[in-house]
Amino acid sequence: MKRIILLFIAVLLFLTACESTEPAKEVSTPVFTVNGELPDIGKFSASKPQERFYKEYTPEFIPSDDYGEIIPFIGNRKTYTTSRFFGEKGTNVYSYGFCTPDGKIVTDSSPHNYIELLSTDNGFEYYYMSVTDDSHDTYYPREYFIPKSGKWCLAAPAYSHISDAGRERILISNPDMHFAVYDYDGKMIFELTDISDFSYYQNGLSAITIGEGDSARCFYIDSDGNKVLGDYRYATDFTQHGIAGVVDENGDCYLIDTKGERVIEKSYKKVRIKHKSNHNSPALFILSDDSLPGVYDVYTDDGGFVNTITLSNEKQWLNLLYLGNCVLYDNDGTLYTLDDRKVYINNTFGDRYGTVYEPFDVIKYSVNDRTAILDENGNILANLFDMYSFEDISNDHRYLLYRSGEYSDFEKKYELTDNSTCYIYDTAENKKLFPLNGERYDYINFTTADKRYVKLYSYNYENHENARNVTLYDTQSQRVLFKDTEYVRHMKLSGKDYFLVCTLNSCALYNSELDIIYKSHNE
Amino acid sequence: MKKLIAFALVLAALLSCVSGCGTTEDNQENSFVFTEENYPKMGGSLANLPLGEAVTATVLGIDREKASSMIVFEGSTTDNYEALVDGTFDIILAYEMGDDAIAYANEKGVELEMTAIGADALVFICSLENTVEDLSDEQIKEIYKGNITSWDELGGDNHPIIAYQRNKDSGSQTLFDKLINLGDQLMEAPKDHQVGSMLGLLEAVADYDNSKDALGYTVYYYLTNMEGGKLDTSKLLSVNGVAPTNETIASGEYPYVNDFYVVIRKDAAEDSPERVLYNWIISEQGKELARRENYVVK
Repeated sequence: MKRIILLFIAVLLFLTACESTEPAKEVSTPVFTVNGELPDIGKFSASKPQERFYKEYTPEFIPSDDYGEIIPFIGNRKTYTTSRFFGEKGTNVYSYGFCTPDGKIVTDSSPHNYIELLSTDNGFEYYYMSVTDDSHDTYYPREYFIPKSGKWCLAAPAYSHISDAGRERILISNPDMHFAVYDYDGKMIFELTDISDFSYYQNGLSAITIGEGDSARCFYIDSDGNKVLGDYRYATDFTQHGIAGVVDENGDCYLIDTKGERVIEKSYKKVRIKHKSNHNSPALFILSDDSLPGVYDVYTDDGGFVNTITLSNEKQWLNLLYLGNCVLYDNDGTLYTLDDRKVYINNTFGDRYGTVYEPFDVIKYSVNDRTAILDENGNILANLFDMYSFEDISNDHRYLLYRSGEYSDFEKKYELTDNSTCYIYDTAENKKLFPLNGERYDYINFTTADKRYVKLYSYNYENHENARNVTLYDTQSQRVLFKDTEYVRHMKLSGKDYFLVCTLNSCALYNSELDIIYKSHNE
Repeated sequence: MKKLIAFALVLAALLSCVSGCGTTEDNQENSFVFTEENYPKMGGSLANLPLGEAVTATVLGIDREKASSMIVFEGSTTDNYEALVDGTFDIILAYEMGDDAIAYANEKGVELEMTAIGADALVFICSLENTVEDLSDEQIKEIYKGNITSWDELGGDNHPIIAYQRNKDSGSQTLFDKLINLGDQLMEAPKDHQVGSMLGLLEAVADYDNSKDALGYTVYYYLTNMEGGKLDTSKLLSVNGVAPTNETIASGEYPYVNDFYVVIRKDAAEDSPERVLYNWIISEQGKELARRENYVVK
């Protein structure tokens, strides 16, 4: 019996020992510990105070001091739970203010829809912006123009535009016939309120139309607002070589120079002008006579005769395509060279019109899911499947950077895989090289025409939120400047680079040395 | 037979010992290593950003800038709790959850686990040029009801009080609503017409601007640690004779104190990275890190 009792005690001891392992299970939860002292991780980088340095600026933005130049900073970024676009979970609204390049605050930050540093062809640098409010509506009925010096601020109706008016003057105009000329100091020279149409200034002259229909009269005015040529029934803008097309009071149509002298003997009934891109770019005049329907004489922008072409549809003249030194015209889906009327490309690729990509001077011609890229001689550079957009990253057409897949796939919430990746395509070897850095990017664009900086976007497809990841790559130094950012804006002010960069938690303005000029934390 | 019994006893003791040794081995095997891949999705209130950044940098052994890019500290307290409930975040550092957040969690059937790690406070600021140094809690309520309108009613100059408020989805407004609790009696906030006159018809709730007659409020930690230079032109007002300091906030002597918490979902597995991080943040090492970041630690 004694043995049994002792054995029982032994078993009991054993079981007790087993039970004692129970609490140890809690202890066995994985544990993280920093060995030794906590590491020195430095101090938190606090926001710089947004204290207005130029306290005396007036509501009209006229300074009491000389700012030198101003640059936008982001005061904060707020996320609203409502979305403006499909697929967004919320809306990010950035508040912009202006500071000097050394970080002195000129204006407090306020919510803006849009702010861009632009330049006219004559080199007048200015900020173009629109504001919003807590409704973060995308449309706002006023726009603002501020020179890079910040010396003045002009409010204008929506969709206004600045262009050169010559003699260090600018025209601020919009499609609703707002037309006002200012000097570079923001002083208005004159304003027109009774015009029904106008052209931008070229060679110091703008074509304006007064009245409508049969009673419409056209004049050319200088940058003081004086009528110097006219009147005409119809007048095109002047080309960069000082030639314009007009229809005189007798109904005769011809080309004139800036003194109003005819430069061609032959008269027509209609004239149209087709620019390569904007009003300062090369142009062609297309003149026609009602007695010869479908026949058009084409003249260069210095008044030289090019060729006579026949079109089955009068509207086809709109489809003149400038491809390097070659100009093409479209007649029923076949593209012809304008100078010798040779077939450039027939409708092998289908009946879609081509699109010229400037300044690359290649043409994109696509049907269904296949796209051809052709140079000005009609050589096929690439024949790509499912190409959505592309950039010529070598300037000699050797390497194209293209993206396959459609943005609509994203909108439709399709599963996006490798199809939306950007590739570099070697047109000489006819092969895809590799996804950039081996990483997936969904959208790419250069920040400036010189192609130094490229923005690489990755979108968050998992839940189709608006979260995105932007990388800024410097093609010159071949290094990544900013990674894992939410927003990057590159601005070139007086030849110097500035970068506005927002992460999920903060926004900062950097100079070209990547020193922080201003930093704020998001609200 | 005695030998047999002794053997049984020794065996039991040995087994007991072996079990204990096994626990030790488990501890070694269970030391957790955080990587960028397994690091929990962390979010929280803006004033807790330095702590979130410090925690992330410390446990991953990375610099603060990189750490900051991995975490999200923005949005209202309710937004953060809802994101935790939805699984957008695995762990948050935030103020106490409000009624909206509680209702949301209940609706989704998600229970949360939280531990207070420190305290912050709602503080009132005015210009250095202002002679007023102290407000009572009753005076604060009357100002924001619109019943006290001039600084001379508070012992200052005969100038109108420009009592700024914050946009409704800001953290400090949430704190104001909770701690001052005026409900419908809160007067209408001043609008920013100055910005509007320059750049259009903008009508946002105006921000405190340091002007002589302005009265504003914000979060203590944010003001003293995250908004460099603000106190060069503004001063903190004491309330009921108590100045807001780390000490008076810790003791609760300052009236408008609010705790902040580390929070995870209650069903987070014992070996999940968020629970391991949660446990570390509330450990002595975690608290020491919070103290280094100048938080008032519980």
